[in-house]
Amino acid sequence: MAFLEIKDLHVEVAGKEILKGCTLSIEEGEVHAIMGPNGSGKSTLANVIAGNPVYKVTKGSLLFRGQNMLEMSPDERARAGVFMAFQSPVELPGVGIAQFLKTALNEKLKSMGKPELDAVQFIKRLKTRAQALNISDAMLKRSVNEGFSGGEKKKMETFQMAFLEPDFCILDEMDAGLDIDALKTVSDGINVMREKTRSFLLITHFQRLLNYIEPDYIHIMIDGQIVHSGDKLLAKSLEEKGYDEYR
Amino acid sequence: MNTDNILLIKKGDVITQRHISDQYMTFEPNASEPLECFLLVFKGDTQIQVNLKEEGATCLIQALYLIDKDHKANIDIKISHLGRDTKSSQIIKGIATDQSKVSFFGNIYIDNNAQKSDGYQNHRALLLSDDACVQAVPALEIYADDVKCSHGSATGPLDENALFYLLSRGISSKSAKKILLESFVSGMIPTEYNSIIQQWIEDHV
Ligand SMILES: Nc1ncnc2c1ncn2[C@@H]1O[C@H](COP(=O)(O)OP(=O)(O)O)[C@@H](O)[C@H]1O
Ligand SMILES: [Mg+2]
Repeated sequence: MAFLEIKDLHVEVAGKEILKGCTLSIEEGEVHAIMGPNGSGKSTLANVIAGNPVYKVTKGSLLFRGQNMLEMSPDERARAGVFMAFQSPVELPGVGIAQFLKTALNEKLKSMGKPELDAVQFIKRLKTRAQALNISDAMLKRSVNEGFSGGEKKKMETFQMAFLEPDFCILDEMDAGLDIDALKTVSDGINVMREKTRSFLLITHFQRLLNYIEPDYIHIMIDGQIVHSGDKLLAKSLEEKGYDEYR
Repeated sequence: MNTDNILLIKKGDVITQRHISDQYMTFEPNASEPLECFLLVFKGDTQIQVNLKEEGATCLIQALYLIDKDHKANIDIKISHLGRDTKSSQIIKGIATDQSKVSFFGNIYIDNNAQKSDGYQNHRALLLSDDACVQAVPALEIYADDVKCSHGSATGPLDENALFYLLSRGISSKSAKKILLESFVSGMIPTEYNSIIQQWIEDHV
């Protein structure tokens, strides 16, 4: 049984078919990257895995650890271990970061039949994960993403992931808008999470991110399908030759 | 649950509560004692008229309506800027669910003697069901030329993207809606009355 098994997935948004038979399989502990031109359907795939109701699956299957994800609500998928770092996260004015993460973690623990964290344990976990990503106490006091710069939003997504410790992490364009220092901080935050039991799907259209986070496999998505897969060397050849030979 | 409408008047640090139902209220604050009032509406007609006559008089009105079942609510706020340099600010927020119907009339009148006055009004409503309806009718009547006056209104369902974001973190749909509604109403009514509002939200998600 594969960790994540996507077969012949067809997905529509606003009446238009975006994914046109996407097939992808990821094993436990692996890091996969999907590269592809703008508009090829990479974010659509990420959103479908996370369960965004805007995207309608018309055909195909999506199994996570053998469970049929298509029958699960987005929150059930998250509690089962799926996490997506959004390409463009929303701002939630008036929703404090601590309250937000406490609710998320406690609901997950409750669903696993584990006790909730008490206030001391919670603060400790929040602070240690924040420090590792250079997130200040002042920033933790703010509302989720409200008024954050592009780079701060990416950091906040990575921080949430580090805090919630999901088993399957989807990172949609984590490198977009990050300067080199921030890219390094975010990449370090992701790399320390690499474990035998945790898998990653990195979405990017630049090779740059893959210099910091080395994937096991790279897939090329063109027009809603994975048209080619290879190892990490593929990124270099894409950088030089572009996507034309795969179109 | 007690669903009487509540009117709170704040003077300095002191808040006094007046229970109201279907009534017309009129206020005439002077410059040394600004009117600061909070209104929590569950149903019925509420009319507030504020006359800002004295030079420099100001008022702040925050109204929150929470309407369910087949209840109707009419909220009618009229601010008359009659004296120079008068200032008004109205923040109105509401949540309507089930088959409820809400009308909000917000009128800012600025007399020709009320130069340098400033009138502000903002209305935002969330609809939690397809059958709920909110009609907002803002009206500005301005007869002086050297004034500031602005208003805005927005009505719609909960933001789908915000909801999905919360769900994607493992937060259940009920908790996610609660979080969004609580952030929407936060700061509208003095915190002593939070529990009434939280209970209403809890009962309607
Ligand atoms: N919510 C949406 N509503 C309408 N069209 C969408 C939506 N999301 C994606 N699309 C369309 O689907 C196509 C693929 O988009 P996307 O998956 O974001 O591509 P990528 O992430 O590879 O750049 C684009 O043509 C885009 O306009
Ligand atoms: Mg994208």
